[in-house]
Amino acid sequence: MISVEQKAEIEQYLMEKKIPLDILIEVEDHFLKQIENYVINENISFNAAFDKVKNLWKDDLKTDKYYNGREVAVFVKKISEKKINKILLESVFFTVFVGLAIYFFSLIATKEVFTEIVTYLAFVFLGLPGLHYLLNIKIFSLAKNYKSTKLNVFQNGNFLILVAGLIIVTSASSISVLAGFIYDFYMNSTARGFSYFLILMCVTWFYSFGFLFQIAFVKSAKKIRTFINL
Amino acid sequence: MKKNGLYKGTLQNIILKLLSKEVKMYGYQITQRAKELTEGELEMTEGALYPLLHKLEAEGIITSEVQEINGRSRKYYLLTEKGKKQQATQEDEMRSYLFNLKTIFDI
Repeated sequence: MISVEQKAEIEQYLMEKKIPLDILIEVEDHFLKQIENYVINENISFNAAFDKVKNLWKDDLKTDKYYNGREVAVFVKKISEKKINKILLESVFFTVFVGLAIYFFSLIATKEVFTEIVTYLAFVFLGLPGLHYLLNIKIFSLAKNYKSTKLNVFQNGNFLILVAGLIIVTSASSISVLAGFIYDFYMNSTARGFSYFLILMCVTWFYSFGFLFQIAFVKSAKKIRTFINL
Repeated sequence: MKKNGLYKGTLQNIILKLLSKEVKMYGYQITQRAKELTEGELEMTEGALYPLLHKLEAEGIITSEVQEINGRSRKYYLLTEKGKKQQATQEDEMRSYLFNLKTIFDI
């Protein structure tokens, strides 16, 4: 049986490897089971078993640079990339959907109606991350308690909410003008309209990517919040 | 995979099959069950197992729940409804593939 001190030693070792808490829970459990099996089946000491397990995980726990320059364990990087690629793909699909939806809307609406509705929808869309943040403020506060580690792989993206807020403040007055130009682009293919259309697509993609990141962060953090007592 | 690279492309099928036979399983249990069933032939590396489990979870094929077991936190994985359907389809494909492979190697 592994003692509380030995468990803490394993925990400390894994935390030094920059493993987010949601992954650390299962890796720590894996370590504990592997060590216990070695101790029982090979009749060796805890330290010898711990060294054997560390050696088994050696390649996976090597640290590597992440896209943002931070160091993470190789296998955490693999996990993160798969999850982030999925969010990236979803945000691209959403952006294409938005582009097509407002195009079809422009075919049936007058410029005034189009401008008004798109402006309202833009405000709702821009406000959603803020609303989601407020509804889950306890989870975001929980993240602040862990300075040396992350709750999950999505935590690094939380700065997007700040950028989102800045975009709302700086662009609020010009959204209706922008919507008008986009309508002109759909109707008359104007060059200026095209550039605003591109801006709209870029903002939509950035926003949806950030918001999906935020949703994934909260969903994952909720799953582990009652089990983290580090 | 330590002993046989041929298992590499079938790791997802193996995990889904094992999960279909149990209500839920945790990572270490999956590695041990695969090893036990193949009499030590198949040794899944942790570096292959966990990224795949997380990928399957992100795709909605499996889901996870954390439980407290004897004072320890343990993450269990289980198949979703979508995962059950996918597992059944993949198992049929795999059986057909194995049948054809056997036919060829038996000549």
